[in-house]
Amino acid sequence: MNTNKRPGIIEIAGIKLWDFFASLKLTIFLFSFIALASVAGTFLPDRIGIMKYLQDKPVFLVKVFDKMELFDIYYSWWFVLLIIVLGINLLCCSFERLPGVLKIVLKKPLPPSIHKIETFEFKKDFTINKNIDQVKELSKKFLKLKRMKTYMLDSKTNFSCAGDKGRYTRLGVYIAHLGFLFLIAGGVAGTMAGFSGVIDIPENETSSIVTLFKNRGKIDLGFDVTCAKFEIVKYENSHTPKSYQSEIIFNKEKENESNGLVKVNSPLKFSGIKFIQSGYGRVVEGKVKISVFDIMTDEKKGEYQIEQGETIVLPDGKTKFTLFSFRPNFQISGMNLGETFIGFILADNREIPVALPVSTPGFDKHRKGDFYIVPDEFKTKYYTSLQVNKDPGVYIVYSGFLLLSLGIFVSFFTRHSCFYIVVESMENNSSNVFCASNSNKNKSLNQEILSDFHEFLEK
Amino acid sequence: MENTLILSVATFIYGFSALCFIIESVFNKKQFGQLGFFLLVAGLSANFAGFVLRWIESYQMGIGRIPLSNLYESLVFFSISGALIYSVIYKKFSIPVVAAITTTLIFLAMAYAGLSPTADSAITPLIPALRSNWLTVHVITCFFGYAGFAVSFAASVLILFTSNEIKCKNLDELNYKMIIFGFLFLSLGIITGAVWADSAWGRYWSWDPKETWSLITWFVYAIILHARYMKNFKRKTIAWLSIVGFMAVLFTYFGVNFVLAGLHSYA
Repeated sequence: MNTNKRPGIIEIAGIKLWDFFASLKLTIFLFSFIALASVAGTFLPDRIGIMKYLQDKPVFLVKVFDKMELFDIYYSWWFVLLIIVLGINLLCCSFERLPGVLKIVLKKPLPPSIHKIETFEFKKDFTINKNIDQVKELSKKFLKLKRMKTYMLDSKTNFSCAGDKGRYTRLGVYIAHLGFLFLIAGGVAGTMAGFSGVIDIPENETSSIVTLFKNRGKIDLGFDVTCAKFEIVKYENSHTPKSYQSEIIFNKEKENESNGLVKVNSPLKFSGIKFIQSGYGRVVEGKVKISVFDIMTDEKKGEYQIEQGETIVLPDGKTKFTLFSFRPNFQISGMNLGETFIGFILADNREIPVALPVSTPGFDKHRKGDFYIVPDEFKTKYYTSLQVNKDPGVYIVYSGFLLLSLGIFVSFFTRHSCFYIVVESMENNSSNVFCASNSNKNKSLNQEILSDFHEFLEK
Repeated sequence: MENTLILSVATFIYGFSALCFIIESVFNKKQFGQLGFFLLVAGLSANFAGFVLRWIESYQMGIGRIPLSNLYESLVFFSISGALIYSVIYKKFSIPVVAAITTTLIFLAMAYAGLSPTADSAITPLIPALRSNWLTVHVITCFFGYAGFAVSFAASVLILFTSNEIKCKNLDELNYKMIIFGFLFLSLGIITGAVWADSAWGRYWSWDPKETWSLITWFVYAIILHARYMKNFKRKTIAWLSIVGFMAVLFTYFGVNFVLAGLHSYA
């Protein structure tokens, strides 16, 4: 093989590409960019909000921003791409540096020569009035005291040993990085294969349709969810709610019925899908009694029992009224009207929306029609609002959490330290001691351990 | 309520402690430093006593919860963590200016808690969404992290004004130690928050502004930790980044509540 052959263009490109992905500069660039994009994301409005604000007639800049998915940054293709590149960067960095670290981790320290001791940054030498065997025993004791593993080399006039501990802590940074990769993988898996939405079920009713968040439509769960009961628990002697809960029954074909309690802070899982108590409200049950009055005389002209969605003809024989919906907290130009029925009047082929707040019976007079309508009697019941989530990546993410915490702890708060001793036998029962200490962090501790050793031998 | 009384006493003690450290820094009088440290420990004791008393009082009121759930209580706990951390490291790193900045921050946090109308000191029942044991772990880890970053901020400010190489090296070591301490606890804080969110709201992450800002803070400190492994990275650059990191902490803590809305709007 010709070793002098110059590398081809593809090889150079390959090396350059590898260097690019294995560089710390890229890591810092990605960190900065992702952080800045996240900052922007917290200040930019969301898409639904801005479209509503502009009444669906976006100006040019908004269109550009929308194309760049700036109103939904965290789920935009480029943000996800940045995070994936960060993952690749992390992998390449690890592959680049891991072999060197493994070499240190797998290699036992060698008992040194005096010459070798001279090369260390933290070292000490002294003469002591003890013979070589005594020093040897004390050295072993010292290393044991420091919880170090000892490796020895012996001859008649010389004794050399090395001790170390925490070699595997050098892998802490890889544990942390693996954890971070797990977070990325789990996050991506969750976004790709999961969903998140809400389901509202009135007491004693059943539903299987989930409205997805961020206007992503509706999906059918494939099984029935029934709310058997909804309950609010209050603090003693107070109206502040302490907790609320729903009794839920799941009904899936070919499977047994399953039921349980969904409470605040205590979700329920069924068929890999999580149900979380997220809110509640009131809906009308059965028919609503309404009265119709003459606007001039305040005389009652009629009484009706109607259901939501039902249309009636008013006493003049031509105006129609449709009861549309019930809102527990209806807001109109910043004012809260409280429990309010919403309906439509159809007169002369014109449809006029009507708000009928329960607490202000004469409110409909403001419409200035021939009649005004007052809701009289009705019953309400609770509905429960459950958040529905499916996230197949959550276990990967949790493993990531564990690895990341463990990895950060090990890589910053534990250390790999070595201690080297060489003893020369001298005349009249004394010895020359040469020692050195080394560690991968907290280097100032090395000086301390050398003094400790000296004191230990003198004792 | 007695707890607020003790906590105002603690505020004053911290104030005097800060004053002593400032005098030490300016006039180079060692005795004031010792007095400052004594006052810091006294302030911490009063602060902790107030915290425990508030906890007991909440039980007497029939509410019964650890006081860690609104702006007032979190500021009180921030001061406890800051004072505790600084008392522990004081022997090894007794740098007057760093002590002065740290104690001033602790004093300001307590004074803000006591005086600001947005930090209500009344003990109120927990809203249902906050009733969880995760609350305790989440708040404690986060505020230990924030307190570590506060000390690192103090060290970084001083690094910018120090030309002496030995002093600078010492400060850099303190800065680094506080950052790794803060980083571990911030990570644990974010993780416990995510686990709590998963158990309470069914999603471990929802890009809520507070979550996002804590992640931004995490990224800034991650940059610092990685930048140290790069050649040609100057101490002063690290110090600047650490100051930026603490600004991110402050925004996560206060800014998000006042500027952006989200799940954390109560604290």
